[in-house]
Amino acid sequence: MPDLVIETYELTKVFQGIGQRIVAVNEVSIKVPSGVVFGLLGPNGAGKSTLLSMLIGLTLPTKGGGKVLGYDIVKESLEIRKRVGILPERIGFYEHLTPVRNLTLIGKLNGLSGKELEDRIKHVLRMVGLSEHMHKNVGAFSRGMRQRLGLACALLKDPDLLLLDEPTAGIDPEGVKVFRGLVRDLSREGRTIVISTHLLRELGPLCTHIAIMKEGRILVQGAVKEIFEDFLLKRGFTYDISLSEVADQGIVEEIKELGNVVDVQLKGRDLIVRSKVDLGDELYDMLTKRGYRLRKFTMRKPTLEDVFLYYSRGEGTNEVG
Amino acid sequence: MKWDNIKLITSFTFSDNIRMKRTFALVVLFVILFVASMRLATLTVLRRMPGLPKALIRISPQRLFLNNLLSNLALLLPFIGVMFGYDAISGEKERGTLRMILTQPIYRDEFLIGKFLGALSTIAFVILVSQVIAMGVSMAIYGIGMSMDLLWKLILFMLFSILYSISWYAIALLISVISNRTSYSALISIAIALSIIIIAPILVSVYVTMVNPPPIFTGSESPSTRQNAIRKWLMETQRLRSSLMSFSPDFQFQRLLRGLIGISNDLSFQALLSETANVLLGSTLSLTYLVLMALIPLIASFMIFVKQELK
Ligand SMILES: Nc1ncnc2c1ncn2[C@@H]1O[C@H](COP(=O)(O)OP(=O)(O)OP(=O)(O)O)[C@@H](O)[C@H]1O
Ligand SMILES: [Mg+2]
Repeated sequence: MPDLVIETYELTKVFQGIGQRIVAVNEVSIKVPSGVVFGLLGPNGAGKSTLLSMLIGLTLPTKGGGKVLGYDIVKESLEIRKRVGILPERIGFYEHLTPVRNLTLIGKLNGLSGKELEDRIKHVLRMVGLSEHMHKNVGAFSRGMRQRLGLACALLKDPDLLLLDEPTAGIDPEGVKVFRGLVRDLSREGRTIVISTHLLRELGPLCTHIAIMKEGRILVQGAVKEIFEDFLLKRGFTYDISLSEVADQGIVEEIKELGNVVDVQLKGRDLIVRSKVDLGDELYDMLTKRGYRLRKFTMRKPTLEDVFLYYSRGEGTNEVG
Repeated sequence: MKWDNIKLITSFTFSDNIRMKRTFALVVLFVILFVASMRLATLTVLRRMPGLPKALIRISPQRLFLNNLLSNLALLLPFIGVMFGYDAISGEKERGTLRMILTQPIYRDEFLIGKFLGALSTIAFVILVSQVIAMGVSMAIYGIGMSMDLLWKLILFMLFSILYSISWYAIALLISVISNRTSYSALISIAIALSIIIIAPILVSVYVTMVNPPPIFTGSESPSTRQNAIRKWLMETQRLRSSLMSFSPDFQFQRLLRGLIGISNDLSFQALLSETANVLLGSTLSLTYLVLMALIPLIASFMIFVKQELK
């Protein structure tokens, strides 16, 4: 398998309507290394689904191109669909049929049959927690159950690469937990998983790599660790300190003299210090030397939301690492 | 293109269609209409010839049966086609099943060919079952006997019925490919069917009477003058109507099948074949028209569907 399972260059999709022109995906070049959990993060309408659709030949690019598992996304999309497990947005099923019958159709389209297919169906239904419902018609399924069945479809061919568009939409918290476990297991087996979502808190922690997308553009992409480091370097460090007694204003000046300090706020016993570089040790030493006892001394840990907001406001640059 | 995929979609579509309530309803509707119109036709014949003994109604029971079958088929075939076509694609788009299928390793044209062949077999099945029941009813109630030429005509009826129904399916399929909503595609398809089968003939009649009013007599003409004037008027009416209605697939279908009913009985098989060939040669225009009516929307559906942007 190639080192990069997905690679695109200047991939662009323009929807030409009557009197309007929507650039849904704008010169996107992404790189997804093998074996990662890749989060394609962005608000509604960012172009995530359109990007994924182009990767599997469901829609053709207006410009640019790319490769998935080494196959060209325009000329060899069938080969891609043979090998990639896909959960499209708003997937639907034949309502008057059971999940087993629906999955049988999918399986046969993928060249599975007989006992092998039967076993596989039972296995994936167990994986997504639908075993008890396998003889009900899909018409009687709740939204979350349908979404789980969609996951089962994507897993049916036991693929090395999964593209999941909003995989937890409509799934209850318990189900989300199960899903996270599932993704971790699959990842441990060496599979690559691409998840598109706007649910940063729900699925963000799963991702080893992310790309932040907005208005058709990728604002930043790379390994989560590197992106956070980059964020801290650019955005600076923030310390929340709580002293045991009220400090006088002089302390503010003294902290500023440490250098690289952007801002110090003092409110009674509480201090908020922002700096360009990591001043943790120096600050701690200085305050204890002055005789303050510290009831709290923490460095603010940025969340994915902080990172997301920072880059989507256009404050960051495009590439990390 | 892969036959396996096409076969899979064909058999899936066929078994899906067969299980639908609308398929059953169509056959039931056909049988009810057929029995009722048979009954009506025999009553009409009786009333027109009140003095005749009942046995004489059987002068041409076969013709009566075939004419009845034709008028019922002409009414129902468009709806059979529309029924299986209107949601063929729009329904799959609406339910998201199209997205489920097209994210699998299958080409769009394979999917559409499978859909089409599935519908073709369903339509053939519905027509076959309906005709067999109609024949059975007629044999049991009206004592119509089976003969080689009747069987031959029924087979031809069946083939052209399938062709005609498919041309309606093709129109509905095209609309279904273009639209994203089943309610919309159903509405348009049914509106087209109603306007061609019911509204157009009425409008044509009104128009023909306007441009070609019946002759007015003063009372001083000789009976033969009157008769001639009326004959001329009728012929002109007929001519105008035919030329105006020739755009209608319904008209062409009925013209073609009437020709087939007219094939003489009790012929040897060879003579039957050559007379059939003659009738078909005489209706090349109708036949071509029906084939094009099916082909053009089908080809358009394919061309649009394979390139279409899916919502
Ligand atoms: N078939 C289409 N025709 C026209 N415009 C489209 C089509 N599909 C998507 N768009 C437009 O492209 C843009 C990106 O849509 P897309 O569905 O890719 O976003 P998304 O990131 O997946 O959003 P969401 O989180 O809501 O799923 C939107 O402005 C949308 O209106
Ligand atoms: Mg989306």
